Amino acid sequence: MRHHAVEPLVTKRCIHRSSRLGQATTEQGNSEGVPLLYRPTFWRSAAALVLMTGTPLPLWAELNTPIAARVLTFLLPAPKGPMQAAIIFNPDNAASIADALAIEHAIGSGMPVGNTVIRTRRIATTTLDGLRGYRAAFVTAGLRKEQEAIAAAAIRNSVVTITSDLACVQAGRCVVGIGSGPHTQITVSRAASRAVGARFGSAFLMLVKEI
Amino acid sequence: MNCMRYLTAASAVAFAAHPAMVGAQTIDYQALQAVVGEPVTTSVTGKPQRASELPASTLIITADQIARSPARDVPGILKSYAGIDVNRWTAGQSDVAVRGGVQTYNARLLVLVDGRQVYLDHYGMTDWNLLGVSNQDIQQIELVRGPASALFGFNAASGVVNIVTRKPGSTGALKATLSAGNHGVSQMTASLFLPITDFVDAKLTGGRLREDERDIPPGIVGRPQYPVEADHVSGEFHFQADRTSATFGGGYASNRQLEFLPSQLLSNQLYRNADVHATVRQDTAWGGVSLDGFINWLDARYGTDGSIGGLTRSLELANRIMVGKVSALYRLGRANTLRVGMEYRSNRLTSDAQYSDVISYEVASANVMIDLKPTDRITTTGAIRIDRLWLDQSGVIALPAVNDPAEYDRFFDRISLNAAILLQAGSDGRFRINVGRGYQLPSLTNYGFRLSVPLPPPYSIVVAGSPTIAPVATWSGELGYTRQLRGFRVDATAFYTRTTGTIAPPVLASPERTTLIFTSKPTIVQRYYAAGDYTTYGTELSVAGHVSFLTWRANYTWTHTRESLDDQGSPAPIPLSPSLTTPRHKANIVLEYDPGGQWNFSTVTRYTAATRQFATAPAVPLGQVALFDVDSAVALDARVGFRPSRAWEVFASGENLTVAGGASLSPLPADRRVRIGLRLGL
Repeated sequence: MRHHAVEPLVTKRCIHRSSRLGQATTEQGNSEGVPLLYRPTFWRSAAALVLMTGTPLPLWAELNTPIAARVLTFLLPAPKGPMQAAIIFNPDNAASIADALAIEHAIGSGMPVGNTVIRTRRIATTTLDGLRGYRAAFVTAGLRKEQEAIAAAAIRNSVVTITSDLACVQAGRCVVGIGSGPHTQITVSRAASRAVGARFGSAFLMLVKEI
Repeated sequence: MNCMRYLTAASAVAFAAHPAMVGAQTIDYQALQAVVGEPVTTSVTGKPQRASELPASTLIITADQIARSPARDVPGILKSYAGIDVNRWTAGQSDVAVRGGVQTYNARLLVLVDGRQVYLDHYGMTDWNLLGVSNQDIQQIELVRGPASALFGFNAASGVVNIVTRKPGSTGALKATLSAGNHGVSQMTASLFLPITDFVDAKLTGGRLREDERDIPPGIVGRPQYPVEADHVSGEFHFQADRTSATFGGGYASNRQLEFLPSQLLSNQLYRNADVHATVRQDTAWGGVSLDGFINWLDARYGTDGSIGGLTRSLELANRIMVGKVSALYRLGRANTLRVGMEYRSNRLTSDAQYSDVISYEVASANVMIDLKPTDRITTTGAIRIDRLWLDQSGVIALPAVNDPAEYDRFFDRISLNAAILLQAGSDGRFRINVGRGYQLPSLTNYGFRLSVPLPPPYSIVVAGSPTIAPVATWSGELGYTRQLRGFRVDATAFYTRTTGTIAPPVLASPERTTLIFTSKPTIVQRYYAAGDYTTYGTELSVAGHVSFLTWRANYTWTHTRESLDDQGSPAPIPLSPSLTTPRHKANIVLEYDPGGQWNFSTVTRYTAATRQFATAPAVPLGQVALFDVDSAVALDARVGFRPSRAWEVFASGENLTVAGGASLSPLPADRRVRIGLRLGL
């Protein structure tokens, strides 16, 4: 299995976050000498932090990671042991970065669900070939423009994509959509499932909205 | 007759063997609940459904709620919900009635454990201490209010309870509970979950309960009082690979307790039950197929102190139930579902207190359910089931014969129905209209019982069953509305239930229904009979929500009963009167505080209106049924738990702390039962 680690890429873009939410540090690297306020990464980070912590009505729907992770346990054959899931994000998109951070925060060092333990690694939208070897990927918010490319990469690599953006599912580009709100609404695209070769247990499919 | 039987069995086998049909869903209730954010059940239509989208009034009690409950058994847990009457007649004997119709040995509520019947067919009853399941082993309790015979067959006439047990996970676990309290209460339960391979795991459970009997007032014919003693042990193997899952298991349970019989005589009983069961499920792209089978062997001894109620000799009944069923669930398009099923049941009762050595019947059934969602806002569900029953007897006929043997060689058909429509009203509201027809089957005892009651010479009395007695029909309709508001949920239901041909125990000294058989010793025969009809209607209002770490719920039930029952001209009341025995008003307030730290608290405050209940009062020459006032009651149950770590909890729990005599809805006044205990989870 080949994984394309993304952290170095992000680090080059001058932002590094620990898995703890809100802990961001700028690094000198190739941005050395540029005033902080003029660095684009500063504004992306600041926007992400504000959006994640201070705004009562978020501008995007954050992925409900615990539910997204549990959806994976209904794949057939059921995953057993450690399972690597990709987080597809755009390093130039604040919403995407914030969603990626939130997913990482929720997963932590590994989220045990069913008979598996899910761990995540980031895959940038610019390096989607890195999806090879993954069985599932969380598609972060704010990637409307990249969804077509993500879908193509997911089909090539047989990756189940899960997102909070229901439009992606309705367009048949993402496999699973998880709606926000008190009544958990899960939508599964039959076309996208078939395209990536994913099978879910029938009990699960009877409880979700299949389109 | 036989041709039809074998044809049905052959069809079931062919149905299962057809390659296109190979395939039923694997249900992991815990995982499904976690992913959709609310409990999931298959007990209403046979397909997995969310609690908020069910086409019938359904109660789902989760493992967390059970763990916080002060109750020590399933009836104790159920008693705080709307539309449910729990009568704890004695320390061990409880009956659960849904929407009225309270009586001892309630035959109209079908009770299942993991879909397998624990309802006892010999007498048409449930012994709640013989379930073979302790509270800690329960994943969830599902209760469907209203007839569910179209899915489950006979005896789901007023509802069905399905107790879903915990399944082993990928890691081993040990759960144990020890508790002791006043009135000699002691309880020990343990469950061991063992993963054996990646595909196979096992579960072993066992438990023991002991508690002293309640005091018997002097106006009631009593019996020697022994403590309640219940034991159980069971084991299961689970196999899971890709789309196939299988379960094989068996268990043994015994229970000794004092009970009110349907005749309202107090009697000491001993029940011993063994079972083996197997389930195979195959999941497919279009749905799936399930194959289920079980055999229950019951040995029931009535009058273990040497006599039943001091009137007759003791007796022993041996009941063997064998059931095989197959069902397939099809997903029709993206939102519709079709379920078809077939079932075969063989049931035989052996005893020396019967018309002949063996009274038996076989039942073949077919059922269809369709669930359609024409729009996002409308869901319709329809189900129909046909059951054909063949009655039979064999062996030596007891003399003098009280029936023509030909009366036992007969069959009949019954059709059960359910239909419902769900209408989404706005984003948060939902209307539900549901109608159903179900049947309570006369028990094997109703069909074939025969026991002499000594009388001064020259007469003798024989209490007898009747092979021609008809199943009890229940028609039900309900209109419900559910609304999910910010932080809380409101449910309101209006219901109407009509029960026709309800079965009453023999009425002693009934001048209108006495058969005289002239032999060397003239014999008076008194039979079980269809006493008449009753109608129950009312409303159930429930509110539930949470504020921070406080979970609360409150409910109120108003039940009114009209009855038209024939007492056969007996000078004493017949021991059946749903209008008198069902409380007209009930209310419950439940508060649970669990911040996830070391301490947790819960309280249940229950109000029940006054009723009158039957018991046998002393009289000459035989005891006589009489009505006893049971006062209205406000009972408080409470539980406090302290968790020094995630692995164990110390708790104190009490039921009826207010010592309200009417809290048990029994002629025997309720007492206060308090216990302390330890829960262990490794």
